[in-house]
Amino acid sequence: MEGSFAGLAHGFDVALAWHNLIWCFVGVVVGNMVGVLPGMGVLSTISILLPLTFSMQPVAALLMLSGIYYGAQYGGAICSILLNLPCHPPHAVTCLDGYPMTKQGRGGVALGITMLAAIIGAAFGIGQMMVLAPYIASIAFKFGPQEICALMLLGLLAGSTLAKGSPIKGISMTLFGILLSLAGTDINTGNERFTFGYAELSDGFELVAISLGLFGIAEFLKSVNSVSLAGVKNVRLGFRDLRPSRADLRQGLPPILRGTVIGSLCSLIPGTGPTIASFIAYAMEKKISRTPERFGYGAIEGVASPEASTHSAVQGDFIPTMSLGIPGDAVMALLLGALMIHGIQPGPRLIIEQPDIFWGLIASFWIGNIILVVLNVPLIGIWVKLLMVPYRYLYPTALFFVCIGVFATRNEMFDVAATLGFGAFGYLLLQLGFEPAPILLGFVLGPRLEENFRRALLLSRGSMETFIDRPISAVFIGISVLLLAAQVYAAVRKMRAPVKLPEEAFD
Amino acid sequence: MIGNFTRREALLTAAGLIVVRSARAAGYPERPVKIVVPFAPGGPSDIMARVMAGYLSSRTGGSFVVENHGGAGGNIGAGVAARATPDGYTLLIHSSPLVVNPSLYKKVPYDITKDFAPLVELGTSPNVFVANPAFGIKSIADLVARAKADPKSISYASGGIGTPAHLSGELLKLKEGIEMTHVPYASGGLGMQAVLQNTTPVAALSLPPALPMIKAGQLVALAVTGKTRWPELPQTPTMVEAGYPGFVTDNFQVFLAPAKTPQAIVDLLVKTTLEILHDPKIAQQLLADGFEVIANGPAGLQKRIDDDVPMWRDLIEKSGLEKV
Repeated sequence: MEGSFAGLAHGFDVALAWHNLIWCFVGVVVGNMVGVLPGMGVLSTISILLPLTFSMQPVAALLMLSGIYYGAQYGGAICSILLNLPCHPPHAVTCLDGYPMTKQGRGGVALGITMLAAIIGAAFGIGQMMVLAPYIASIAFKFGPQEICALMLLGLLAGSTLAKGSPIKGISMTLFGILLSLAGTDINTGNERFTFGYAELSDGFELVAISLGLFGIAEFLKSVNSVSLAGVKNVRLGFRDLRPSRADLRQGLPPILRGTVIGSLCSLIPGTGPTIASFIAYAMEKKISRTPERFGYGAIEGVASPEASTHSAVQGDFIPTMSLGIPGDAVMALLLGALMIHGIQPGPRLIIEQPDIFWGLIASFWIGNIILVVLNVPLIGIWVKLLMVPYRYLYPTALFFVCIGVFATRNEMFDVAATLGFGAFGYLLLQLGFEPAPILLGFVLGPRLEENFRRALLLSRGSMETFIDRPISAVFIGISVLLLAAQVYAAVRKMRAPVKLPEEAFD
Repeated sequence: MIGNFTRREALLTAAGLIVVRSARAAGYPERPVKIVVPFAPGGPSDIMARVMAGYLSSRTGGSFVVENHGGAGGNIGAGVAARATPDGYTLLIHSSPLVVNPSLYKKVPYDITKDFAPLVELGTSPNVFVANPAFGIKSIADLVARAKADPKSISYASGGIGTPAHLSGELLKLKEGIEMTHVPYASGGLGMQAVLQNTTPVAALSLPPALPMIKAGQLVALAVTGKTRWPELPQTPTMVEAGYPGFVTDNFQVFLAPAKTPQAIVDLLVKTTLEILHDPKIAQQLLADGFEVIANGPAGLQKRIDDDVPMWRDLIEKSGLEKV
């Protein structure tokens, strides 16, 4: 611990050096803009800016590039909440309650609570990085295929009732999401499945394409046909309306703390990044809520928890990347590559050999996050005013950026077509009363479940006992069984209870 | 119209074309040159391409930009480059999947014999066999002895089906007639993690990402698969030294243009690239990034491709991998 603080003091020396500070500022501001604009992805921004850093000092380069990554998370929630456009996958789940809040004229409150969630989540993530980085190996290494598989199973079970309305519909959508995730190359055999001869499908669908299609475009198709343009009309813009009230805070704080913990745990398990973290956080929040029926209709917990989880996972994600040299996702892989271009090898000796990099980065996280909050809180009012732009201008513009953004993820037109296809499909689902959210859950968790299930069986030479032989995995399996049992018990009790009027039909 | 074409006009037109072509090469590059990398940003080819793009831009005064076209194990990007207009404004930096995939996939969107004009073999990184220290082995011989003593007991991880590292593991199995269960991961990093956490006791990996862990003593390097030992691991023998003549598998990084790219542009690119690679400072930088500089010109690269395609094909067939 003491070593951590001495290191951090050194880190602040590095990060506050004026030219490092300036690059950190540039990074978070660019990141923030990238997050807000539907058309830009973090990955493409960093890879575009990477060549610029060749002539920079490695520390400054890293501070700037990572600033883009966590800065983007601050902006990422804005389109999700205000326009139902999840341009950044970790914030997709924020749409579920964030957009209804906007429709109720509480978009500013949602953004406010997002900021609070962001800073608390990030602070925890950074603190964890300071304290845990040297011990990361012993924690992360407890999660083998069996544990990850069991965890994903738990996540899917807990999340299958993610959506509002009929549980059967929710579960079927989860399964459909898993089905969609099967398209692409099977890691275990190398075979292509459900690609129908399209090389573009060999790595499966892009998550961005699915989430933007199912949420953003489907919502657009629904709204252009409806008479009233909900969300644009009843926006109150007084300063008071933009600030979460005391009641909001009281309601939002516990979910923020829970989300933070879930996010930081997920970030420690390599390959389980912010997106998975935010879904699990939302699912858990709804599961433990006394009033799960409010979720999906603008429950503030449904915004607070996944947002906190995303931010803590984003910061925590740096731990395995820096201290193990194992990137958690594509952005981290790129940052790792950037370090290597600067002749720095991340790995267990990074903290000792390159204290400037490691502690400078951590100190810059503190500085960067504070800059972001200071920048964003006054901006909330401006973002909300965005909704005053007439729908006929706002939405086509947003769609235009969406198409560019989807294209830029992989430079493939195919993904743009897929987005539009999913949009049409999502519209159909909405008309039939199916909620699209569980599709994303299945799509995100399903492949990790399958991959690790088969890997575990490969290692155990086919013995299923492997899942209960190992303590952590046994615990997850145990909770899953309890969850299922509780579900069945509740269903049975409901069947015996007197029949209620079918209120949900008017949903 | 064509019937009325006189011989003189034809000659003039041809001469005109030649003038246009050489003028193009003289002014090359007049607009940004796209270097296609058929993988996501951050991988070895991407790093190599970005380093090269930087130096090519500064030396030619043009602008070389990297464009990632990931997917299908590198096939999509290679196909994009193969179909691009051969005007010198679309180039390709690819690695070993270029020569592995034609034997691994039922169909690839390029013809390795026809679609590319080789420029330079830039650099190469070997693969490495590593073990978890707790497994208590120090050499390939130890590994083989363990595998023979208790057949089917050993699993080895890799960064995915058909990667040169995986195929190196299969090659070892073939040479020794041993059984080891292959456990593929989605990336080399995750494969490395599997052996770090002792999910599998051994792994076959691309060397550069594993190097810090080897140096930190968290992984034991059994042997590297390069022609020579790796400069930073002087103690670790090559597979050839470990008693397997001809066991050389590596991950090369190659620079290609679409076939029929004007010769003048090809010459210019080759000359500039070789100059860059011969700069000792740059070679040192690339070594730190995990690449041993090769700097093999068009003829050498063509031979390398001609040799490697059948080499991988044989290995894939013998190891019984199904085409995907």
